[in-house]
Amino acid sequence: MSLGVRYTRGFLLDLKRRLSFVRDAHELLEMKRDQLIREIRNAITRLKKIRGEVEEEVEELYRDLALTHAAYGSQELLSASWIPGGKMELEILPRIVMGVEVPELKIVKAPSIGKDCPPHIIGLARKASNLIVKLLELAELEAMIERIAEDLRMTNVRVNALEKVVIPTYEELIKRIGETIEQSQLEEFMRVKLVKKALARRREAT
Amino acid sequence: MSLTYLICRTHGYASKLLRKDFIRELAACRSLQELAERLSDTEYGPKLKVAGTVLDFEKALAEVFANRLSALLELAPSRIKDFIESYLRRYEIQNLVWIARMKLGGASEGEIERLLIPVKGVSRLDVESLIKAKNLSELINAIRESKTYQLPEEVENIIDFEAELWRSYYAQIFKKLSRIPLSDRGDVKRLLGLELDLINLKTCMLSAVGKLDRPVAEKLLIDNPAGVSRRKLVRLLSKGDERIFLEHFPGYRDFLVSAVSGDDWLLEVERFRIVRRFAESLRIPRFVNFFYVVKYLVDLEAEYRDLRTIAIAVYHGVPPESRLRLLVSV
Repeated sequence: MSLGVRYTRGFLLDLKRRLSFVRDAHELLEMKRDQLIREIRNAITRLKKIRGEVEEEVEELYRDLALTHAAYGSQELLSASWIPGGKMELEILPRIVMGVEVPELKIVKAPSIGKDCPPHIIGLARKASNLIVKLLELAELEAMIERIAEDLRMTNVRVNALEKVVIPTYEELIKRIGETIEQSQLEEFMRVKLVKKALARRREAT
Repeated sequence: MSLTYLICRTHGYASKLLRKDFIRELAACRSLQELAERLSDTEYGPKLKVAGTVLDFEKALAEVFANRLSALLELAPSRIKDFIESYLRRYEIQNLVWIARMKLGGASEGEIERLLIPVKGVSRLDVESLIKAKNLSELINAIRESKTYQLPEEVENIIDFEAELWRSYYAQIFKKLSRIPLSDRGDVKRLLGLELDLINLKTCMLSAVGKLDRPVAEKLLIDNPAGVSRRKLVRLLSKGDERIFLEHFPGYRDFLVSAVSGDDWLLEVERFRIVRRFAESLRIPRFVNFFYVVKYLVDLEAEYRDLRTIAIAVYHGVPPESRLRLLVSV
């Protein structure tokens, strides 16, 4: 780390000011890291819950789909799948969590299970439609966790760098400059003392 | 050809149908290849040899089914043929409904053609030209102009279209009962009445459990000259409670309960099971009786449905014990 070290009192004061700033930054980053951990923990808890629900629902939907397919045949199911239900429209909005931009999905238009859908398939279609909403929520959470985790990693690197490299370097440098200045002050003091002594001796001789 | 010859041949054909035990064994198959191997000695064998996917499998089964129907039809004397043709038009209606749905979604002609049951022999309509219709309204107009089915001017959607086709079908088939021997009319009428009752009850139950709006359901109900009147069903439907149907039709409890429990797939299986059970339960007094032909048609469809069900269940990996619940004839 090149800091353009100068062994002067002014530089020492500047370094001390910088160290205080770095310590504040370290403290803030630690707080951010803790908050990010809290956010990620909450998101993971929600993810686990929703994933469990989605897995159960997918299993149930697949079971119903298989049984409906077997009971009615492919023709019934495939032809029903051609009935237009409209497209799903989504809006992806940015949301900021502790300075991290995470996506938020908003369903603008959900596909409709219209009046053309055969009544014996409506139940299945409704289940699939509800599942899509949950899958979107899951995708949103996964993207959020991924982004927060990446930011957490970067924050952690920064906190560690400050804690293990920057702050000790500054402290070491301050200590070294302080000692050097102290030493040079002592030398200066001694030099002054010697000069004074020499001058006094010369005065006595004359 | 005489009616007696047709009935005797039907007995012969019926003896070729797969046994219940064999169908139960087939339900335990682990793969489509195993299923094809088990069926290799039957009429299905040559067709299944080249079937790679589950759709190929279904197509092969449908082809055998359609060939059997055509073979029976060829043997029928003209008056009886008229009735059987009308009876078999149910598969044409199925095809028309599938065409309509796919037309609405803009499917290509090839995609539509691949799905249809090959019942050219019993079809009065030129299905190939119907597939070429540019849209749904053109398709409906073509069917209306053919005068095969009576479709009203205001067909609002596919559900209406399907209901009108079935309404027209049952009106025609009840009229055609005059073509069969007097001694069999009662039994065949009861069978058709039962079938129609179950279709109407299915509509009612789906409405009662909230899968169909009541006004739509009322519109979909078909008049049944040999069963529960439409008026009675509309009255029960207005109560808006599915338990009313359970109280009024205790004989169909299993069928109705499957709608309440949300197992819509079971509704279809139970519906066909009841019809088949009825056909089996009838005591036919003589060996040479036309009802045997109708019973054979029901059994033939049951076999086709069961084999199709097994193939799809194997494809999806449905557990063997659940597969048995899906079968009509076991």
